[in-house]
Amino acid sequence: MATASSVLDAKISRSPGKIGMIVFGIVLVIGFAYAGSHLLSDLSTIHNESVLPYVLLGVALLVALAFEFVNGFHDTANAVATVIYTHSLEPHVAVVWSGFWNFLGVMASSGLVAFAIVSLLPVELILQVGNKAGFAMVFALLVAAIIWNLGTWYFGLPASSSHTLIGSVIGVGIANQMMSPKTGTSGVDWGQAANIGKSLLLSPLVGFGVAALLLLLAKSLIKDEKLYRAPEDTQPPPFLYPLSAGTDLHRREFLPRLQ
Amino acid sequence: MGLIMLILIGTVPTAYALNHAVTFKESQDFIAVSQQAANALDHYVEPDAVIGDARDDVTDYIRTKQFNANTMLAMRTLVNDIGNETTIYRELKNVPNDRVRNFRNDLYLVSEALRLTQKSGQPKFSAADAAILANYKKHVDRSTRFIPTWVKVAVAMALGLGTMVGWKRIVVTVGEKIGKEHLTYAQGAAAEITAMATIGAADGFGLPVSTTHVLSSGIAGTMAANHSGIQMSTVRNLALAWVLTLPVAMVLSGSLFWLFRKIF
Repeated sequence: MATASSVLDAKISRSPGKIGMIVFGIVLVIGFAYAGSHLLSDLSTIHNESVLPYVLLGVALLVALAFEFVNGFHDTANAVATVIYTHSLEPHVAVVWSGFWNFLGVMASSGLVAFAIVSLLPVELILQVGNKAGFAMVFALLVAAIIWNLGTWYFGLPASSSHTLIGSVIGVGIANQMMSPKTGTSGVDWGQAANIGKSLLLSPLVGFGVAALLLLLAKSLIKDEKLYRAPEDTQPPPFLYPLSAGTDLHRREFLPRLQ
Repeated sequence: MGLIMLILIGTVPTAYALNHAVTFKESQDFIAVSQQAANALDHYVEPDAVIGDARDDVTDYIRTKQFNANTMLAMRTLVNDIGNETTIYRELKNVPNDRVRNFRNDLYLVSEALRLTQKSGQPKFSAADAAILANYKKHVDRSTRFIPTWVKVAVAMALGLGTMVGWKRIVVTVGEKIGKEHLTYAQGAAAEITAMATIGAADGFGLPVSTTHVLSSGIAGTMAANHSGIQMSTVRNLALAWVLTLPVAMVLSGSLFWLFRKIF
C-alpha cells in the first residue's frame, strides 16, 4: 500500500514551512531538556559505584520512548483522517492540532490508566521488577508491541495499540506460567482477552450500522446536494465539523475500567 | 507510562520506588489512617486463621484471586507493619535504601489486595469499614502510584514526534482505501460522530473499544449506505490485522520473554 499515488498529496496545500519546523524543533528540545534535567537531578542523590544500572536505565527508557513514538504513528492518525479528507483543516494543521490534544491528554492523565495495565501483569514479576525476570518482562512487552505496531503501520493498517498491549501482557503471563509452573496457574487474566473478543465483534458492526443509518438519516433530513458530493478543490465543509481530536483523550480513559 | 515507572523503579528504586513528594503531614495522616484500616480489617479476621508469612499469603491471594481463611490476617499484618514502619521513618524519603524495595512491595500488595476485595465483594465489608479502607487505599496509592511530570512530558513528546513522522500511511488507508469514492462531507461527519458516541457508550460497558475500529467501520458503513462501493481487499486486511492483534502480540511477547529469560 504505497502512499505515492495518494490523493492526499494534492490536499497538502503547503509544506510545514521553515518557521513551523523551527518552532516544533524548539518545543522538542525544551521538552526533552526538561525531562533530562529532572532525571539527572533525581539521580544525583544516589551514589552507586557500578555504571550498569545507569546503562540499563538509559536503554530501557529509550525502548519505552520508542514504544510511545510508534504508538504516535497510529493514535492520532485515524483521528485526523476524516478531518483531512473533508478539508476541515489543512493536513499539517490537523496533525499538529491532534498532537496538541494528545499532549494535553497525557499531561492530564492521573496515572490510573497507566497503572491499570501494570496490575494486569503477574504479581511476582512486579514485586521483583529490579531483577532479571522483571526486566525481561518489561522489554518483552515493549519490544513485542513495537514490532506489531510498526508492522501494521508499514502496511498502512490502523490497529489498536491498547489491544496490542493487552495481548503482550497476556503473552508474558502465559510464558511466565510455563517457565515457572510452581508459582500458580492463574497469573493470566483471560477476562481481558474475552473483553477484546467482544469489542472486536461489536465495534465493526456498531460502527458500520450506526454510521450508515446516520448518513441515510442526514440524507432524508438535510437536502443540500453539496454535502453528499466529494469536496471540490480544497473547500472546507459548509458546517462546523466535529473534530475528533478529543476522542484521543477519551481513549486514555477507558483502560481503568478494564480492571 | 506505567511501564516507564516500572523501569525507573527497577533501576533506581531509591529515587522512584516511593513518592518523595508525600509531605510530613501526609505521612502523619497516613499513620492515623493505617490504624483505622487495621482496626477495620480486624473485624473480618477468621478466628482459626494461622499466622504465616504475611507477604507470601497476600501475594498468593493476588495471584490466585482465591480468598482463604488466612488472607485477612495476612492483610492486617501487612497494614500494621506498614503503619509501624512509617511511624519509625516519619517520612517516605527517610526510608533507608535497603528497605525501599520491600516497603514499596508491601504497599503495592496491600493496595492490590484491597482492590480485589472491593471487586469480588469477598469478604463483605460493612459500609463504614469499606469507606475507611477506600480512604486508606487512596493514601497507599499516593505513595506508590505517581508519575513525575518529566515522565509525562517525555512521553507526550515521543507520541507527538511519532505522529508527525508516521501519520500519512494510516490516514491514507482510512481516508481513501476503504471506500471506492472520495469521502463526502456528510460521510466524514457521520463516521466521526459515530466514533465519538460509540467510544463514550463503550466506556459505560467497560469494553476496550478502539476508536480506530469504530471509525474505519463507520466509513465503510457510510460508503455502503451511499452505494459508493467498498474496497474489499482493504477491508479484508483490516479485519485480519484486528483479529490477529491479540494472538500475535501474545505470541511475540511470550516468546521474547522466554528468550530474554534464557539469554540473561
